[in-house]
Amino acid sequence: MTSRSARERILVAVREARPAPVDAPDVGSAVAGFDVPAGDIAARFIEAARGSGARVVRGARHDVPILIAAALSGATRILSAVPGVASSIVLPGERKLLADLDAFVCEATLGVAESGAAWLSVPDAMQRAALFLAAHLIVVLERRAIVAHLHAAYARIDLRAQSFGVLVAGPSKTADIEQSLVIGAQGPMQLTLLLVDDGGDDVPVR
Amino acid sequence: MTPRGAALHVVSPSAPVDHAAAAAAFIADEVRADWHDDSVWSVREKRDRAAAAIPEWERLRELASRIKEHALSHLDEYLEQFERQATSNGMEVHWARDAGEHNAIVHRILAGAGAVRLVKSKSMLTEECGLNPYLESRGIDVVDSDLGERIVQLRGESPSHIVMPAIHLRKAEIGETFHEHLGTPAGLTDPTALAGAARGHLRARFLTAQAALTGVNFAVAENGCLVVCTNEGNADLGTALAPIHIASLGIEKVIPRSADLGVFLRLLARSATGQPVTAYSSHIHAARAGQALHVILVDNGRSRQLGRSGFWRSLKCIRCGACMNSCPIYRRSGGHSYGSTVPGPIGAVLTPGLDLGHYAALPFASTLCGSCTAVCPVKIDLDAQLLLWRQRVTEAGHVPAAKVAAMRASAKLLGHPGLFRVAGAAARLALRFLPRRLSRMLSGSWGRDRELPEAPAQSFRAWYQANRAERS
Repeated sequence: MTSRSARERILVAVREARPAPVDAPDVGSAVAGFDVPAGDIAARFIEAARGSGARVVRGARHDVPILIAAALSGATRILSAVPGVASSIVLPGERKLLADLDAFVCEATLGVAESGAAWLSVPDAMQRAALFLAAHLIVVLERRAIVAHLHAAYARIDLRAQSFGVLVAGPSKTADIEQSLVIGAQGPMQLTLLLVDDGGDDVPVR
Repeated sequence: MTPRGAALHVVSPSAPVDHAAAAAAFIADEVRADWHDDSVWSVREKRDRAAAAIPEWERLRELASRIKEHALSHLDEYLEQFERQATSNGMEVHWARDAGEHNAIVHRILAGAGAVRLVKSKSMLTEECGLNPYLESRGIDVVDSDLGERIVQLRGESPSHIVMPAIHLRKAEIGETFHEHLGTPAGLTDPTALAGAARGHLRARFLTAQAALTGVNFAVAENGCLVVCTNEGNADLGTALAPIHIASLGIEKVIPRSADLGVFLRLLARSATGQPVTAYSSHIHAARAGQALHVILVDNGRSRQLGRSGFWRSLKCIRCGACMNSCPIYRRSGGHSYGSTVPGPIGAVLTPGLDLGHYAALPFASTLCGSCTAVCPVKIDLDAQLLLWRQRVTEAGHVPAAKVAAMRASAKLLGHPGLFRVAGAAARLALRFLPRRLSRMLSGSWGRDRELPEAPAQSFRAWYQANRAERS
């Protein structure tokens, strides 16, 4: 749509304006030199997640359906992307019909201990809408999928593998009125993280 | 006078920005000015605590600075790489040399799809381009969906801060605005209740929007991925629901690799608000099924800034706002006093290049204390660039005649020891014998809000000659 000239003229202007080349730093080796804090990685994740306003529940993998049912108390319109957890509604034909969704349940690919954030890969457009429209977001996360910091997270995430992925830290929030923190701005009012321990080994931290 | 009045005072398109006059209007309301100062400083303190918790903080800043300097010094290559990747992901990439081209592209996309209802998430670039009035005059209903931006939009104001657009407003004022526009009860000032009312109001707009426009925090060249960070989730509600997503970004937002994101996302929210990371960091790699995804790469003066040897590093900015939270001038004069889309130290460095005569006052809205440089997550040498702009402004003859005369007189005085001694003696006499009101008046703007010092009995020169000179 853009005239060829706008593109060419911007690129020419940038080429002519370029400062002397600066070498790219070696991010990988710099990051490898960062100390990983001592102590239990799950405990650090939980502390950071709670700091962001999330509720954290721990349990075993086989208890997931029971724990989710408990977290869902009072919710009637539920959409689930987690096998073994039933949706209470039929997936509507239109995303906007998810506007009054009580809860959306999904599984995270990994967690980041330093910030208490969970990475959700959401290839499906309907689920992507549900993730932000639902009043309550419930995320299942394997304890061994927690990495120390974002550098390790990006080393494991392939951004090309999905059209959309999001790092979620706590419920939707705002402090736009006199710096007062209000939980539940436009998106979910509540985030429950279900931290599942199956006794496996931790992912090696890079 | 309210900041709203201050904004009206400086936003006139023809008259140059008079920062000092606008700041004087802002601080005339002492209670509000003190509250604003404390409020903004508390965000700076949160930043300090967050930074102190990361042992490698300084190494992260250095890395971030070098990644950006590398990217900017190869910007044409990374722009082309980003375009190739984004296009192969199904995005349509547009190029805009200036605000006018950007706005016309947005309107063409909307008109082509018959879309008249647009929801926007935070984008300082579209503020810079004046997109809202452009679209509104063409019959498009534009809703800013970030709560702070919605508040200032309803009030007919511009954001006074790049991260906290309504930081200059008291909750009672927001309550009045919501009472008028959203029908909340008169006198409602509870932030939770007000935010709840905005949630309902904006939910309806998200569900009926025909297009969503977002800014972009980072665009990754190696895979064409767009990263958008919000706390409210408003960008995501817009883009997850509307059939059209338009992403507007300045060309300086392109970074080489996704591994670089780890560095920037660890720094961004900590520097901005003291949070470890924003509630949502969304990574959009391709349009979802059935959605058109347009990316507009905007120059609007950036390539010119890139070519300015003393100023190109200002393009490293990741728009965290830490420099304004730290700035003693910003905190006490309010964002609107700058008369520029981006206020504070970074605004005073980025904006003069657009129109030196119009923004000549901005580089002087600083004490050159360097607090901004000390907190900048990408290590922009803000105070050095402010000083350099002052030299450019002076060379170009944009300094007021009175100031030039005063500077010339000072230069003459300081360059002639005899004259300096006479003037010093006269000043000591004046301080001792003139009525206080008169001596303060004679000292110009310096004495307006300050007590003048006690007059010393003798000059330093006289003291030195009496006490030290004979010993050496």
